[in-house]
Amino acid sequence: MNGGELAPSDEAYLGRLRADLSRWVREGRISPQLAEDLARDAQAHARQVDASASSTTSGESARSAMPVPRQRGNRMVGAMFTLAGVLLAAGLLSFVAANWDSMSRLARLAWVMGGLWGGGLLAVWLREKAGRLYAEGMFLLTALAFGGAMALVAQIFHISGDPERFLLTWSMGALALGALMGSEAASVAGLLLALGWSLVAIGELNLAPWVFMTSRPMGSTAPWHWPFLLPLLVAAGLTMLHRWRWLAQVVVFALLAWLTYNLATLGASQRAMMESVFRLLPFVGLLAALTGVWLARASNEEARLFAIPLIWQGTLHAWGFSLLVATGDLMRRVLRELAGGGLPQEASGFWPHVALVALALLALAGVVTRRIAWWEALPPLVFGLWQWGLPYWPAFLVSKWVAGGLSLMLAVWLMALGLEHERKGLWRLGMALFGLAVFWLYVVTIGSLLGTAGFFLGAGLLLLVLALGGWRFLAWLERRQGEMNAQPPHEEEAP
Amino acid sequence: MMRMLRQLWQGVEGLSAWLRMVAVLVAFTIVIGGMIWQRMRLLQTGREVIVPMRPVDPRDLFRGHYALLNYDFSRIETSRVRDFDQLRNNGGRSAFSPSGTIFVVLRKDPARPPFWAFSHALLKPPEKLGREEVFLRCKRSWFGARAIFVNCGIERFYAPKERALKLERELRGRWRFDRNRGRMVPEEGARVPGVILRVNARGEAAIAGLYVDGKRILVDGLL
Repeated sequence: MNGGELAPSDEAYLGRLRADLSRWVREGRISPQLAEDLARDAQAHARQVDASASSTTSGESARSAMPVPRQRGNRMVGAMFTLAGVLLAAGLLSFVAANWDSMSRLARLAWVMGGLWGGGLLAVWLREKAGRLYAEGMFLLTALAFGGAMALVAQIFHISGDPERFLLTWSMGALALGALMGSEAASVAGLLLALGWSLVAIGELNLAPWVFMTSRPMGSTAPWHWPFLLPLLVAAGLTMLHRWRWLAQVVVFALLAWLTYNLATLGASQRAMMESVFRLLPFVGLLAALTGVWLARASNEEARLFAIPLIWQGTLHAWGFSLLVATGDLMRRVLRELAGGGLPQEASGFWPHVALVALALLALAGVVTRRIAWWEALPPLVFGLWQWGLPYWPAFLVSKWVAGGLSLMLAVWLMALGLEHERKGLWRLGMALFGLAVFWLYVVTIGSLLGTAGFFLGAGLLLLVLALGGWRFLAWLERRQGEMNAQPPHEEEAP
Repeated sequence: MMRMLRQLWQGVEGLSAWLRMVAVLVAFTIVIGGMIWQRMRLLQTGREVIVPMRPVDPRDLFRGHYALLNYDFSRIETSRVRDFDQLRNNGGRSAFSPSGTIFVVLRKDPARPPFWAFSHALLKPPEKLGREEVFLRCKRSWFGARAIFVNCGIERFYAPKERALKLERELRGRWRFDRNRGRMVPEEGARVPGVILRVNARGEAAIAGLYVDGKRILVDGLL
């Protein structure tokens, strides 16, 4: 191996082969030497995703030589580290905001600068010791802490600020971090911040001055905000260089959002603006989807990275917008209903009830048919039981905290299951649920900032502890596997 | 193109990860340190100017933990922008983009010491200023046919909760809403509070403190 990552199918095959070889050696069917030769030959002929584009740090090389269960576990624990980083960053920002008064200015600054340097150095340490995925959460934390530090300085000196410049500086910092350290999470954050910068700039150029007026002010400038294409191109370059699939999705999302917002401000009045949006947006999506179809046939492998995101997001863009128009009124009513309803009614509603109980039953069926382990079925069973017994539980068990905690647990479980069984759908479902749960918790805890900070910090720390535990466990597992493999087969057979 | 990118990445990756990270962190620290240094310097060396302050909503001044501050020059009649007509005739469209820079000239007010009053505004940097004049470099937030709204980066005053509540009590009741003029005006006989600014030669301004009942309530430093 020269540092490249293997294609997933070959990775899985090599894992199975290694397990079989170990078994055959233990059973005395083949010699350890032959097993080693065969494993080396299979490894040498495996398809690599891209040797030159991948990172070749010592952690990465060590990781690529690990047996597949360890790799899967690595991905799971790595994902947990990333999520822990997100939660810790959210917690840190909320905590600093909530305790603003009681801290001296210098202490506030020290907090954020400590987070910035601590996060950055911890990220490098994690990457050196364990691999890229482990470090992603900390890289993200560093990128977010940079913006937090700038915001704090602005508050200390009563700077009412220029959001455009603030977002531009922040996005440049995050993108530079992503590019120099090869961090996908920081690059994603950088591009999203650049999108925010561009939208604010377009808004300042066009919308802000005339939302209260019936016509555009005289001589206003053209709405297109071209400078955004620069960070977009940098992100696209990074996507192609490292073959980052998440960043490919965000590049397409940012491009569509930028096009949409620019087009939305083309009209000569507010009414015309809305009409132009209605008229143009489905075509933007359609064009993106068609470009995706064209790219899917391209011989350039790097360009093909954008094909699927373009097809999916373009189609969703076109259809989603048409559906939004058709069902706008219906959606508004549903949202109003949701906003008005309290948690117990919502949680004990018919459909969530059915969905969760069905999930619990499916998990149970999985255990019975031995498709999943009992511990894998535990979270949906607990959630299902909680959901089923809602009318009977004491009040503290029906709180939003328990609901949020259980939702997060369910999300992590879905992601873990997806990684364990190599089911991307489950992984994505888990990610979506995680995002929804965090967002929902954030919304319901608005107004109690300290509570929000405490929740994020607590959840982030818990996840970090779990991730560290998982890491130690995997290292132990690997050592044990190594020891077992090192034992000569005839000794095992000897009575 | 891809080959060039790969070569570039190989060059970057050849450097130690610790070194790269420290370089990024040092760059971040320089940006943040630069912000602090620039403000500290402005507060120490800028020319002191006290301008009358007008709250957006005096009943709930410290909404959250900061007060939104409004000045006489927060909304400027286009008739008081000296080069407005000249630029409209000759400057083309770009001069009238809704967002852009506007230069607000303040002059010491002999009738109301120690306050400085709004004199006029310009769309181009002022070439000559009197001894008792300074200018602020502001951003146009939007403009209509008759007025331009500006933002000079001095529109927020952050304060800890107790201090904010105390200030709010002190400042309440100094203004009333004038229906004819469509804005807040000082009560008869009430002493108008002000904002102490520090302004440098480039027109950048920083809030150095508040001026209430003839007393300076200075913003404390970093500690």
